[in-house]
Amino acid sequence: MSENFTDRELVQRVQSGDKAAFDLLVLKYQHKIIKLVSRFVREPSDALDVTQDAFIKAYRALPNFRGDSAFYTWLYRIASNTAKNFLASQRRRLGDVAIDSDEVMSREEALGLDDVATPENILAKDEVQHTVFETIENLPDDLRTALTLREFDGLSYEEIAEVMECPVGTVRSRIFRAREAVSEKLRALSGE
Amino acid sequence: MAGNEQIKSQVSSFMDGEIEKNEVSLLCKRMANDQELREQWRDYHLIRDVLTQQLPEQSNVDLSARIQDALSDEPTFSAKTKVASTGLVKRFSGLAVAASVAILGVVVVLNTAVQPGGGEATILASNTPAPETVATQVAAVSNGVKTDQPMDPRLNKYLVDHSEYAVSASVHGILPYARIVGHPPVRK
Repeated sequence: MSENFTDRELVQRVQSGDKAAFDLLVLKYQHKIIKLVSRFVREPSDALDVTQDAFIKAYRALPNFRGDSAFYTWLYRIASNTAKNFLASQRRRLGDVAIDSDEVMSREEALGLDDVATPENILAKDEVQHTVFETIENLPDDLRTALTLREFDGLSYEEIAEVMECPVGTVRSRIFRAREAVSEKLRALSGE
Repeated sequence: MAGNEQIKSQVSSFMDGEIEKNEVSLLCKRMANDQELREQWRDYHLIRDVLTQQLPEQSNVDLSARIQDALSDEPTFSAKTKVASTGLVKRFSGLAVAASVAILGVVVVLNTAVQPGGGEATILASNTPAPETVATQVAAVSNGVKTDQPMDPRLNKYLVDHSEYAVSASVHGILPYARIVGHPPVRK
């Protein structure tokens, strides 16, 4: 089993009429897609609009998604096409000559124009990153090891159990407790 | 582990694809109705995004509410949506295959008819003069069908004219190689 299992299950649920399952896919992939779109679209608010648009397109196209590729690969394609189309339409609006959107992107990247980092964004991101890393660093060894083997090395629970010489149930519990500890700190950070 | 803790632990396992298939349905239903579980799911993925360096600059953004709003007017899919669309696609693809096979068949027959070694039509072509001239000939071929009806003499003229037109208009196919069948002149 893997993350693909999770996506397949959620996609099947959406295809069978469970709209709420799509929300879980959004929560799962929103940051990755915002990051991807931000490489194309410079203006942060535009990047969010394009991301939203990409998710809506993905939802509408989901009945035709047959799972030939991983869900994220499929979503990635939709998002990058949506961003390229946005760029192209923006260029047209500005009266620029039709330019290949790939060319636009590489030119903007070369100029460093894809940077959406405002001071507030940088600060917020730094705080989140700092909190996550610091909390993980202060976790008991067994929790930290279980979580890092899972998140950095992508090992399955069974493989982690083998490495750590403990039952799979223990791995499950350690990963959960590690995540809960970090999550609690994040909630404190955001004042929830 | 208390009940709530157990469910939260399931959320953690689910994001790793490490729960049993039969547990997914109930967990998803719970997550749909429990804001706290959804926040837990979101935060766990935020942690993953930080660790895998996938966090965007706008790390404090949560688009899910916006997207949910935007999708509120969208139809909910049903198993039928998928089946119906695939059924339609299947039906049309069947028709398309049948049509393709039919067209292919016609093309093959026509090609065979004009290619060397292509059978009866080739023999006919090799035994006859060039296509341009064959059309001007009227072969009074009797194929054993006998008729007592008197033939209109204009019919032969019509057949000749038609064949001339067909060849000069570059109508492709087997027509240039075909014998033009008329009727024997009426002996008086």
